[in-house]
Amino acid sequence: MADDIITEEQLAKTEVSLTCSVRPIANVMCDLSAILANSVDELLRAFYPAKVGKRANILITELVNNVLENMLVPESEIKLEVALRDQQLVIRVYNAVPEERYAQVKAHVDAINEAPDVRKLLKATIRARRAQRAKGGLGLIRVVAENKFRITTDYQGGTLCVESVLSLGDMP
Amino acid sequence: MKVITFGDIMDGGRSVFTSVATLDGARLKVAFEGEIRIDNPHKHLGRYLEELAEALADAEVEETLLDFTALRFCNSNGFYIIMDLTEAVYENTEGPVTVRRLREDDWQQETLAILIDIDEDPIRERTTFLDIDADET
Repeated sequence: MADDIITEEQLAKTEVSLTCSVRPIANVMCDLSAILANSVDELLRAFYPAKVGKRANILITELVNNVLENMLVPESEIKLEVALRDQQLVIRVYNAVPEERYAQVKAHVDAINEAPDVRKLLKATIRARRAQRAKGGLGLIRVVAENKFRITTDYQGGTLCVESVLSLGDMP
Repeated sequence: MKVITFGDIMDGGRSVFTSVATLDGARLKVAFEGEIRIDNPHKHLGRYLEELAEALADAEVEETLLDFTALRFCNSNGFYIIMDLTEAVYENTEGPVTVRRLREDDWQQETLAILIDIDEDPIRERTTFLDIDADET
């Protein structure tokens, strides 16, 4: 039944998207980052190489943890959008933050994007933060240095969006 | 072969991560298995870290294998404990260290080298990476 055979090339054209939101964030007592990250990982592995799902898993884990560990508006929602089409994986995480927090996140993302060598930035940041036993601050650098995502930020109506893009064509 | 110490992370009533240090003659093996996803791994593994450093200080190790091939996931909150454990091994042993890692795992290929401080000459001179395909584990 040759018609039932699907090639890797055909599978790679599969479009996948999902949106999930949880409100209020203050009610999150479970390991939400693991639930979302593992679910998306499993979904993407159904159509794409395992490495794509694994990268999504790490990205979602780090971004959702960032939101939960820095929750500033407990009654607000966290929203996750995932879209994979045309060999491009786009993951957006939204949450409500005051403008000052957005400025901090934007400055952090700008520093990552402007770093001449993001691996060196990751190394220096790990060393500095380990010396202080400082919590957090590594996730966004990690997903760029290690997992090759491109990240940007946006701020609309009090909601921060961190957008992460991975071009599957650039993956080894 | 004898187990010299082990540590684990319990989450939701089950073990989600284990690390076991074994000694076979003068050969040390420290294996890592499972996932590190929790907020504060030191809370679970601090005692293991102390016991590992103490045990290795008294052991006569000539070669070491650090095996990460069964470690499926490590969030950034887990970086420091991996650094602490590998540092305890390097500081309390002598001889070559083989780091067994997965060929297809971004973390093991990219970030793990940073965590064990591979750019430092004394570490680099002792270390060999052994890349394994997932289906070989």
